Amino acid sequence: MPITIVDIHKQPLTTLVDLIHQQKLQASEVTDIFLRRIKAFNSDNKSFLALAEPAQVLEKSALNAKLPLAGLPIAQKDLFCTQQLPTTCGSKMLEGFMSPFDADIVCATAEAGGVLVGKTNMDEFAMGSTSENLYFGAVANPWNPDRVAGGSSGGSAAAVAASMVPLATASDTGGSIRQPAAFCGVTGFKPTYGSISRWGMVAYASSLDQAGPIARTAQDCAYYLDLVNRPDSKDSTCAKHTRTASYPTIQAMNAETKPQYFNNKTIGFLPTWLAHEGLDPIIGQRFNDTKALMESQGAVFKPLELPSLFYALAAYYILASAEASSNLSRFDGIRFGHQCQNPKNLVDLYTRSRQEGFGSEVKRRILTGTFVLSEGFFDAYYKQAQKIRRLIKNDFDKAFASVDLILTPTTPTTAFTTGQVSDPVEVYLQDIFTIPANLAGLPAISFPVEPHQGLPIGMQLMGQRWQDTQVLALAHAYQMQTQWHLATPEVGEAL
Amino acid sequence: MSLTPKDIKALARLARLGVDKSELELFANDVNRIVDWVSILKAAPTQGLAPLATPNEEPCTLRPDVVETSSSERRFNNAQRYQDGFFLVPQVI
Repeated sequence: MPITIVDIHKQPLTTLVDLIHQQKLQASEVTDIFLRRIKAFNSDNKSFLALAEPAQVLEKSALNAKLPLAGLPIAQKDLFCTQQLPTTCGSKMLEGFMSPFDADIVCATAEAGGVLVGKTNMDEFAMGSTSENLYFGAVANPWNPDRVAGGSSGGSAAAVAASMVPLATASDTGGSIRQPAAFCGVTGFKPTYGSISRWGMVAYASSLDQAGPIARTAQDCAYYLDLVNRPDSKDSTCAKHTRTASYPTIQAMNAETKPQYFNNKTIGFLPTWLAHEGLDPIIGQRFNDTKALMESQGAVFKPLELPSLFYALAAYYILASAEASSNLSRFDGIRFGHQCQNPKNLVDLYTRSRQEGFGSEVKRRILTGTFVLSEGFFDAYYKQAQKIRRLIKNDFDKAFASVDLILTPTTPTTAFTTGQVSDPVEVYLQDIFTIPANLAGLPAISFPVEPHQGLPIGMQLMGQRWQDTQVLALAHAYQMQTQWHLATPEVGEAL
Repeated sequence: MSLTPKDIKALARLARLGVDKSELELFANDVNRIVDWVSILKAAPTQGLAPLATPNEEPCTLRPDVVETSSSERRFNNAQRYQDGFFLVPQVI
């Protein structure tokens, strides 16, 4: 017997899946609500760069109702290749590019019954922390349109926050899932490096890039992760071993009469980070509140010293720029991508196509990367950064010998005003808390805590490599005790 | 060290990236700012440590070198110029 649920668009993905599977809601009627919200808000919000034909989405939604994702609309970040819609990576360089194949995460989502509804806006080639896309337009933060949505997966985070989709994919090279999730008040999960396949994800920095979901809850992230996290011979860095499912642990927690997941958990924290001069005091206060709640539920907190993290941000920008300068050399204007008019010769074709196609941040990173890889500087910069990466990994290994997880703020501040930050190094400093997990390949999640003056705040949990379930479960345990993750901005309440 | 607009021009040539004369100074300032900032790494205690290229130290997954799917139409659809199964470029010889 169908029932009416108020605010269907605000429900977590797993709630909607259950209601559709129990035939209490029809997949197509739920999808139609999301489609109407996209139509109403995307022109202001600019979360999406391309949208699928609504009639086709509704048709597929009805057909997929019995599959694990129940025919629900799923957004793909615009760096995952799709045959059905253009893949631009937020760049003029790839404007109109139609991929001849689907990314593995796109295939896995479709096989599980998710319906591709659109491609989400992002910083060009995932290089940035604001999603102020200069070529296609900036994503507005649904909580305050004068604030940035964060980046690079700003469109994905804003689309979920504005209840335009129940889940969007994203990618995280230095915090690009977690930082926009924190700024937009949603949950973003970066799995262990080497889990979800990178096949069909346009590469920025291959040793750091990791795909993952942004959704309303950690439970939703766990459910989706189990559906798309699989070995893939097309990605040589995708781990071969069989994955352990995360969702059964979450279900077992939900069945407990007295939640006790925090019992016997030792959580590390970093006093030096909490004393960081760039940390907004309100974020420090929210960290203490989160810590106190977890302690009240039985968790034990332990201060950690990880001296190598002082070098993490600088090492990251050397490694990421170096890998970017190499990866982006494929955009030569010949086989795909923008091509300049009337090239005089082959070198002119390369240089002018790249000059016209790339934006300024991409050019800055290509030039920086070319410098740190050049003869005479390779050892001092690139090789030294790789050694620091080893140092950081060793420090984390030592830390995880005595703690199960590490709790930190996700970002040093709340979402900043659009156009506020222009100095590149100042922008890079936004990623200070998220980058270490990428360098060491750790799973990490950002989950919403109490907002401040209408702006969301996120906390981050990091775990050991392949302990994704533990990270998701602890964030879920927090969300079982709080309601912050269910708060939604006043976007289209009337719809 | 400090990179000059001339150095940026040389880097841009290596990267096959066109940069306007008016942008050379701007990029020189930006890259210098970044290079100055990352110079803290020189003091890091890394003696005796092996570089770490990737956090996943398992051997890379290899697969048989076999063509699974191939569509010449799709392969060329994104190219500006192609003919008889070849991408066209300006004459090089």
